[in-house]
Amino acid sequence: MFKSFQTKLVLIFVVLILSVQLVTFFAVYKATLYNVVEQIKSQLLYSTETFKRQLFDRAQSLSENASVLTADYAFKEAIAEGDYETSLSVMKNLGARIEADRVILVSMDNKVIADTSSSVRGDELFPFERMIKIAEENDEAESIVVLDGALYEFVIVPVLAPVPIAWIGIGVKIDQEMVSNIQALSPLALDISFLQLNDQQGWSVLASTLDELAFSDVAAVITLLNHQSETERSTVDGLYSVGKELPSEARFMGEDNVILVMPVVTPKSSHSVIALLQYPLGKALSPYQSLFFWLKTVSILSLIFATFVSVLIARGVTKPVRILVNAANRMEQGNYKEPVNLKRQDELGRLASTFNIMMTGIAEREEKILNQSHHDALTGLANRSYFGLILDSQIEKSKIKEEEFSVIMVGIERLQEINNTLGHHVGDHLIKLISERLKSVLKESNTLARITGHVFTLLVPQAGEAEGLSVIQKITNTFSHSFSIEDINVDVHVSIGLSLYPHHGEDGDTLIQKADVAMYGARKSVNHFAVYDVEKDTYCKNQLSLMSDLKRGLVRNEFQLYYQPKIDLDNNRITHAEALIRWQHPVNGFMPPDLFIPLAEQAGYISMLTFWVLEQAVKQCSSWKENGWLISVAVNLSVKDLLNPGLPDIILKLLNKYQLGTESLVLEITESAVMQDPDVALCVLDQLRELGFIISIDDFGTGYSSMEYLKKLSVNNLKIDKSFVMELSSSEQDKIIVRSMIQLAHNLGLKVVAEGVEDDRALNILAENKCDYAQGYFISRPLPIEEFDKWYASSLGCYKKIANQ
Amino acid sequence: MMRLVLMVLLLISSFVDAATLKGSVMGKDGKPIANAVISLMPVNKDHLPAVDVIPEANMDQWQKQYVPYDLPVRLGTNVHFPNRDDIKHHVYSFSPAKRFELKLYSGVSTKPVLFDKPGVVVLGCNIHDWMLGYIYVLETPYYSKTDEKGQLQIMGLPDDDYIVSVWHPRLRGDTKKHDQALSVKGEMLVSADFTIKLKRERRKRKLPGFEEEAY
Repeated sequence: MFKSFQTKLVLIFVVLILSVQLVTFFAVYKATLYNVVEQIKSQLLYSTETFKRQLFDRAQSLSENASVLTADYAFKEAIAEGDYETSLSVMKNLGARIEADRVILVSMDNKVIADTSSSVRGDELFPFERMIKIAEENDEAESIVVLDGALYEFVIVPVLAPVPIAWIGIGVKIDQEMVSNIQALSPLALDISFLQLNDQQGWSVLASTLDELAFSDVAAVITLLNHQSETERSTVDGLYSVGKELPSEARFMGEDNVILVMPVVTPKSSHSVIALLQYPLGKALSPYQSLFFWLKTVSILSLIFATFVSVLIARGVTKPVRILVNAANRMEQGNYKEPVNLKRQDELGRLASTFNIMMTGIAEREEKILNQSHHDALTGLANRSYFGLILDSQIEKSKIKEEEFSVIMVGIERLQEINNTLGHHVGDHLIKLISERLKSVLKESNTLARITGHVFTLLVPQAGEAEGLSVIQKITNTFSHSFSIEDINVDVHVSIGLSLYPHHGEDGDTLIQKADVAMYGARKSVNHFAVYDVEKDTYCKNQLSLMSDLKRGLVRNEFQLYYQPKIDLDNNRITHAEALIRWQHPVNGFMPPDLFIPLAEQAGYISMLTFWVLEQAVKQCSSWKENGWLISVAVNLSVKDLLNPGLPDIILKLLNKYQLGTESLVLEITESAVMQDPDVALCVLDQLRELGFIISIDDFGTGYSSMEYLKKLSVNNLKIDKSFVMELSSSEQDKIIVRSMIQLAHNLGLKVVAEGVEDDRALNILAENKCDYAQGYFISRPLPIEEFDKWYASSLGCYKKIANQ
Repeated sequence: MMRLVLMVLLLISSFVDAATLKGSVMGKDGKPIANAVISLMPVNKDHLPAVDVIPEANMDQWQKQYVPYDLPVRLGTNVHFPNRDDIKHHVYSFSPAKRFELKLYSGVSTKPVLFDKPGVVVLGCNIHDWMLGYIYVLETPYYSKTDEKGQLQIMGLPDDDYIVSVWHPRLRGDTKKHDQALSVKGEMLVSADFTIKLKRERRKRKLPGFEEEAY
């Protein structure tokens, strides 16, 4: 959660400040509280004195009033005469005059003579004998008494005539009104309650400024009171004296109060009365509430300010770090243009400048690498991947503008052969010259790329078929005159294919592929250029599925070997047969080898296919041998096969398995196959030759036939391409070529095979020219094995017999 | 006063061989008590001499006080209450022995008050609450009041058996517990010493404008 350094920093600051403020606040609060409580306590004590003074003063004035009033002569007379009615009426009158609530007349022998609140007279003893005793001594006695459940401030004075003839007790009720008056006069607005605590009945409220007192509250007070020792209370002597008063804090009436409990001494010890003075703490603290409010406000404001400042400080600390992090992120995203802008003299500043140096270095290297990866080292043109990117961006543009554009592919024919014959440096030089020429026909907007060794591509924006073809025309024209390298004039032939966006494809790969297909088709055309034609594209539709079908076909035996016999022209015997692979596709039907062999090569299935062919052929050979037929089988090896050094071993194992000798197989290779990687191919061929296999050069005369290579190849046979043989009977030129070839081969010690024998005459011509073997439709087309066996059996292995028939 | 002295002199002269009692009244602390009255009551009341002349006595009001503080008189004495102050007094008594009042007057009251019942009569003044005086009405003529030294002398006691009693306005407790029996025969000097306890001296609360008065 607090991962960022800045957050942590801010958090530490804030927590620090917060704790300091909390401590400060609570210290102030506690100190204030303590002071307030102490203040309240002392005020309470002071108020207690006031309270007692007030009670005493009331008693004093009461007794003074009483004394004056008892001096009434008529009253004395009535008492002296025992005139009860008169006495009572005087007492009532008296009481009303001085606002006394109760007046009691007591005889000298301590009996109640008359009572303003009771009709009892004569017999009942006055309950507060102790007061009378005091009054005897002091001429008056004052006390707080509980009388008939009510609390009175009570005064007893003698009725003097002029010696005491009776006692008169005058009481003023201590009720809510009175305590409220006391409260009003008190400097501190104390709440005052008088409670009576009885052992049996518990407690009762005698008077209180509070409307309600809960039992639990009083219980708390009683507990408090009980803490004061018995001795302390019992030593209290005299009315209005109270025990040691100690203000205490108590949870009272649901809030904190400072309270003070005073035991009130009454003349009857059974009447345990207490005065409870209390002051709510909340009220005491209320003047400080604004202080607390401001303290809180200042705390919060300073916290906010401190947070703000700490954020600023943290930013100051982390900002350069963030700048560096951002710079690193930019670098990660490949943006090296923006240097780290951190002008500081400290370590971070140095780190930043190191960052900038690093950034520049990386940028330079990356640009170099990028350039290298985007350009062809030889010509400096865009390479295939870069061309792909350009193509993609062009597609984006054209898609928006709904424009066409052309992709032109220019393939340099026979470049490999030029390399091989004239050397790579010439080839490279030639490529450069070709690229120069191609550039000369380009417009600014066009992009030229070299996507493989001998293939150039050209992107012509905003070009439809017509514009594309006009560019092709220009290219063709530039190649109409030869290139001059090191005093050698080299004619360069090109095949050109054209694909159009969006008609032939909407992505770069497809457009390149279509242009490639068109170029491939163009090789065979007269003009050597072609626009992509979906009708002629056998590759596109099924290419992908064919690859997977190919593998499946091997498993499901969809492949078959056909055999085309070769006859030994020396004796007309059928001594050889060429094994030709046929694929009966379950959906597409017959698939020509020209179509699927390159696919198999591309997909890496060719060695599997070759092995299958070899095994079938060897098996067949073995089965013929069992019949007593000695037929050597010719098997075509692909380019890839020749690059496999393990091939000789594989073939040997197969032959051993069927107990056949190396003479049973003729291995046919094409000239171009060897040219791909002559070193490895020649090595493999040498091994095969040494093992005793007969190696035959296929399609001789169609490639860039080099006599030197022919020598180097050390093959046994030479197979003249059918293009020279098919029209042998009619073409004199072909006759000369064939004758020369045969002579050349013989001179090199090679045997000659002619394929494509279509008629009797051609066969004769070949025979006349000492051609060694002949093969062609005239003799037999390639046959499935059953038919071949039938055909061979009927001829008994001798061609003449058939011919004669 | 003159009359009383005269009367005593007469008594002394008529009973030459009569006995004399010397009495003293002391407090528990040994201090003499003034104004105490010692009286001798013949055991047989019939021996009391008859009253031939109605005796008279004075209880003055002087300087807002009753003077004397206490006045022992024989039963049937007419007491005058002369007001010697220049203000009015309102003398009253609610005592059972004699209830009376002499409403506001100054100078000599018109008519003396006859004390015809034995006992203590407490005198008050309705105007001046602190004024307090006692008239001790005795059946016997044999009594006297102690002086400042707590001493007294009663002369001319005829032979008889007596009960000697002591009284004081502030005597604590029953008077009878101090009673003593005494027999007198011929000319002799007898003594009767009493040790009594007094109630505290009452002090009136100070009223505004007045000095505190003691009595």
